[in-house]
Amino acid sequence: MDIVHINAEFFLELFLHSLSLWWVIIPSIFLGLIVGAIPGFSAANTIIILLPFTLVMDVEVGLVFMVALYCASRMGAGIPAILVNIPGTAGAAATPLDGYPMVKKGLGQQALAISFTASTLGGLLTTVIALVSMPILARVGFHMHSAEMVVVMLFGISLIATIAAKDTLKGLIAGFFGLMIGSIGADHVYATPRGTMDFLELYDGIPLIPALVGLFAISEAFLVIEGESILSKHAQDNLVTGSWQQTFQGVRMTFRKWWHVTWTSLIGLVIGVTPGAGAAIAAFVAYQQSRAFSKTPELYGTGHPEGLIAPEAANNGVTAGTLIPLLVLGIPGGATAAIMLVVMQYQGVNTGPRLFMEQPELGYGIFMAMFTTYLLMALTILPMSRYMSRVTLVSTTYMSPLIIGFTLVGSFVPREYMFDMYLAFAFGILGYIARKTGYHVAAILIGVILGPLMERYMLVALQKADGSFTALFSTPLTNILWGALVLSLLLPLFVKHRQRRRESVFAEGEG
Amino acid sequence: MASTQNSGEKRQIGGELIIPVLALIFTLYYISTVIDSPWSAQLNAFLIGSVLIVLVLAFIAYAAREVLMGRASLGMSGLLAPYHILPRRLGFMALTVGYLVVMPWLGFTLTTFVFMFASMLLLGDGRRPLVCFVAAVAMAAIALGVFVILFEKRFPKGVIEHLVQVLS
Repeated sequence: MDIVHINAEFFLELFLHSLSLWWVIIPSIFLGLIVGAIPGFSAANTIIILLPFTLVMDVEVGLVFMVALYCASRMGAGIPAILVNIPGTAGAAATPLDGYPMVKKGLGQQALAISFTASTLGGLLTTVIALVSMPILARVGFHMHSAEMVVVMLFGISLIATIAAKDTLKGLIAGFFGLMIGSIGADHVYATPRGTMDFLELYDGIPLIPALVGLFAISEAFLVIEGESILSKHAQDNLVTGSWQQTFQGVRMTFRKWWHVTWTSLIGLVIGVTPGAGAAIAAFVAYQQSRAFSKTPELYGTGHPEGLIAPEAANNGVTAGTLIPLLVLGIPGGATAAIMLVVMQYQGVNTGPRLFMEQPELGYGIFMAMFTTYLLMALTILPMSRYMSRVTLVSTTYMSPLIIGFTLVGSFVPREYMFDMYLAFAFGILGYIARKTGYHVAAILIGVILGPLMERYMLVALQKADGSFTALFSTPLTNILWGALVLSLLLPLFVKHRQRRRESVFAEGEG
Repeated sequence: MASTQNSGEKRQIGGELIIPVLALIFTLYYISTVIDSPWSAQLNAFLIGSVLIVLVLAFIAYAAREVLMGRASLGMSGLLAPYHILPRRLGFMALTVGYLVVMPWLGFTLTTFVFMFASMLLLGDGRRPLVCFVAAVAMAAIALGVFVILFEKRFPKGVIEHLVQVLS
């Protein structure tokens, strides 16, 4: 690719120019945070609603608006996920696994600070990497075929096994039940309806938002009425008397885990580059890998900062990744990227290599706008974490009806079917029973989200090889990924075994 | 296997059987819908369904052994306790179902208000009715403003939505 004037001075100029667009970026950040936090809304459908405005804007302003909204919505989805166990989007589904338990300990402010800092650092880092290695990263998508994607999905699904480690049989039942529920809908080849109970609304499969809000939020609303507040008395005191110290601690803790942020956000970047993959897969894979290689895996799920950093850094790493195939190859990797493509085509802007040759200021400028958005997000949102965390002090008398009303409305929004509200309620009851009887709702949800994706990729891979399962081991990259998967599952067991042996030797020595 | 009961009491395993039984019934139903379908439609049913059936049967066998050995009973206290909250919880669930059933007749905004107000009164034992009323009005007004007027989502229409339509 012949790129002219690409040097440090060029990037500095672009950075200063994107800073001058603060008047677009800051309102877009706040709008993005709001739509990200509302279940059912997303950057994609907000941009569609505001498409007429985007089309009449100057092309650069329009793109900066969309990029800022997109990045902020990713961060926004994490706020209700942490504070009240409502993930705004599927990308934030792994966030409450450790974020919400932190809130219950009265560490809401710290959890939000960790989430914002990890999101910002993950976003900044992956944007810089995307800027300097775009042509190489763009090729990743070409090597990720259906067989490779099956293994990537298995990385996420293997989180079920990790969760099941606490109670094997129950964990596996929950996970496989989720996978079965995720199989509802017409099959991908002959459109045969499967397990739809004659509901036409289920032919496209289980809609994600009702499943997400039902399993997490509605079940939570039915549970928390056992107490006056979602926080214990001690946690309430912690929150009320807490100073800015918790925010600073959260920021410091995340910076100290810089290596953790780096590699989990890189998982997000690589998954983001792959068309069809998304933030939900990235977040689950990052969480699973983070736990597998952690020195303290037993703390995951109890409010462990590492368990919050991993999904937040990863799902913000996806944002830069999604834009790479769009800009470098002209292939949109997701819904938001597809809408951006429409706007660019309407404005007569070429995507693909010509963009970087003919309008490098615009091509690189989009990534620089993303970089600036993350910087401005850190400055504007981080100070708000102290006040946002106060939401958890609201009595459950008011909180539970608000959660139910808000999430049922959110489950109606994407498809505008009353059926989806009933479905969210049904998932709420299922989630309630699961929680009260010791089954992990996250295991069910992982199955519901990743099951249909894995089935689709597996069918394509098998069809290419006339139904032979050898297709799943047919390329060097697939085999490397299989090796990494096995390693990531066995390594923690090996480390645990060695640790136990060392402890027993030490105990014998003491004796 | 973790117990949901205190270690001193007999484990009440009845509630823990609900999810496996639901999973088993659904899997058998799912298999029945794909039995005559092409292999591509059956892939999940047999790959995942067969494993799930084995897991469920293993859990049922485990539960039966625990009950027969007197270490557990088929009670449901794990699911239903604490009992003093139960009427309130069931009432709240019934109000939620009512919210969904009545919405097509009363319209989105009015039903949202009634649900919020009634739920807050129920959960707060009738305390602070004015606060509940104001909170319910505020929530219904925000929902109307954001979802119906601003984003034009097609929620069921009632008196308030028609009134807004006439006025705008």
